[in-house]
Amino acid sequence: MSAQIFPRNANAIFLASLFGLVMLVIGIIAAMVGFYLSPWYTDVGVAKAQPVPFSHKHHVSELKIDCRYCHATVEKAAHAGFPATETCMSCHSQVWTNSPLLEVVRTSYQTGEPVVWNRIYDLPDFVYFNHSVHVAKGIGCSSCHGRIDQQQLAAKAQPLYMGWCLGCHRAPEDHIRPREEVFNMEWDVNALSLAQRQQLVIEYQIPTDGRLTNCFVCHR
Amino acid sequence: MMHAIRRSFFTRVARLAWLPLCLLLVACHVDMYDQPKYKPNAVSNFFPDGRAMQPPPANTVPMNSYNPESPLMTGRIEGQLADQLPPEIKLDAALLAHGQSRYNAFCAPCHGLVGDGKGVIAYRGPMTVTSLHSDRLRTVQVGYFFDVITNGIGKMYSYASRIPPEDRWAIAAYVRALQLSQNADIALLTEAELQQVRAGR
Amino acid sequence: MSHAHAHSEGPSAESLALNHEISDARSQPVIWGVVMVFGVLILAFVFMGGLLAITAGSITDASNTLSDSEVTQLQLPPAPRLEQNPRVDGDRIIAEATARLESYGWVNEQAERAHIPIERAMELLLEHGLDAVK
Repeated sequence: MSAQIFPRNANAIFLASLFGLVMLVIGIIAAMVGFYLSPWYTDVGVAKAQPVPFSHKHHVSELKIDCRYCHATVEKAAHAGFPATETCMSCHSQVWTNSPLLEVVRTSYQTGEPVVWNRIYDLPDFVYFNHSVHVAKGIGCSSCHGRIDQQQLAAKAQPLYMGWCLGCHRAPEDHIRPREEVFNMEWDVNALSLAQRQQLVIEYQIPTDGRLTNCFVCHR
Repeated sequence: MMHAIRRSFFTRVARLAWLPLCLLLVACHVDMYDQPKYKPNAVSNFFPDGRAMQPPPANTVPMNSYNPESPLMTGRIEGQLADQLPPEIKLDAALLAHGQSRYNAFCAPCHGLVGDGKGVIAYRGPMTVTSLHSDRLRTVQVGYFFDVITNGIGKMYSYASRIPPEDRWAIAAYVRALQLSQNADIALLTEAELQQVRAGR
Repeated sequence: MSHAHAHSEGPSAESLALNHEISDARSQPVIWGVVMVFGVLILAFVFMGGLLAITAGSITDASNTLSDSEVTQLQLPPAPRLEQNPRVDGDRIIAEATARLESYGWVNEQAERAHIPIERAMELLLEHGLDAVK
């Protein structure tokens, strides 16, 4: 019998470290998933600084300006339409004309240099998204953009995960509203019963045969 | 025997040990997230003004059946403001409903939902905004409203870039409905409505 | 303090021997003091309450002869003013305009002109054409 190389508790240490290693791997995976879902990665609810501190809360909730006044192409085009400097100036040539906060806008209007805003929603380039069809089929602004009328600086309301898109494409009746209420920020989906919403799905001819969840609907 | 089973199980699990590494890929955009193509309002390094969306070159028009001289596009017939809708636009309930939605979005902030020049922005400004309920505007040609939306007037900017010509005509028609609603000849109304008018309800 | 002194009979021999006071302070006067303070307070409340009940309605502030709106006018700077709550103002303007667009009423009774709901006006416009307004 040769001398013991390991002390007696080596067995216990070996088992404990095996257990620890497994827990470490699980912990790392859990941390990565948590990070992936967190606002650090998704930017949800994180307001970005902008060249002009534009407040949706002020313009929508207090001044009652319709979404389409600035996002004019939302009903006709894939892109909702980002307002030109001229749109800002159609009011701010009269109102708040001396404000230093709007100096950037006035300069842009005089020189024709665009104001460079920081993008809030950046869809992956391999995703096709069309605003007009969603608006036409009774999906309201606030369904995706949240209560933007209560935000000062704009922030993302949804992480834009594919699962989130599919959730609505699988069950549009959970999010649909009458077309007249699309731009109504205060609309509550539960104002209509499920049966009424299902009726809207039929009326607006939204396919429920699974076509909406085909890959090529968005990835084209 | 027992040892052999356990070993094969462990080796099988160990062979899949690379799978968690895939999660590393998820967290960064090494895929086609950002492709070499322009999306609306993107920044461009190619064009000298830094815009991906280029304004159309000067003195050009779109290449289709577009006729910039037609009444539909100018609101004028042989230089005079049109006193009726252009042939492409049909006056029906859908047109008025469309015009109402456009009017409420683009005009109501200043002119007010009623058209009396008392919108929220006019109040907030404060600004003096023209009321649509004056004898001058009640008797003016319908093309006048189209012309004002297209070219702007006084302090009002042009809305041509935001409201397409068809929608401008819809708004012009709806303005007529607004004017009628605020200054209706009672000869047009039924007896029941007359009583409501007298009751002020 | 003086009360406590009046009752003290100087340090006891035991305390002097030990070089520190061994007997405790008397708590009774302290408790009585507190009870009296609160008793006076309650009496004062009762007295004031009775006084107010008796004189209620017979006392008015005669120093202000201005109406409420005039007082407001004096307190506020001249218009236009900063809005206290823009949201409320916006809601009010929208509500007033919507009510106007949904009701009947006279605009000018002599000229036999009325305002009518916008939905009805749209029907009439379709019926009589764009020149119905003239």
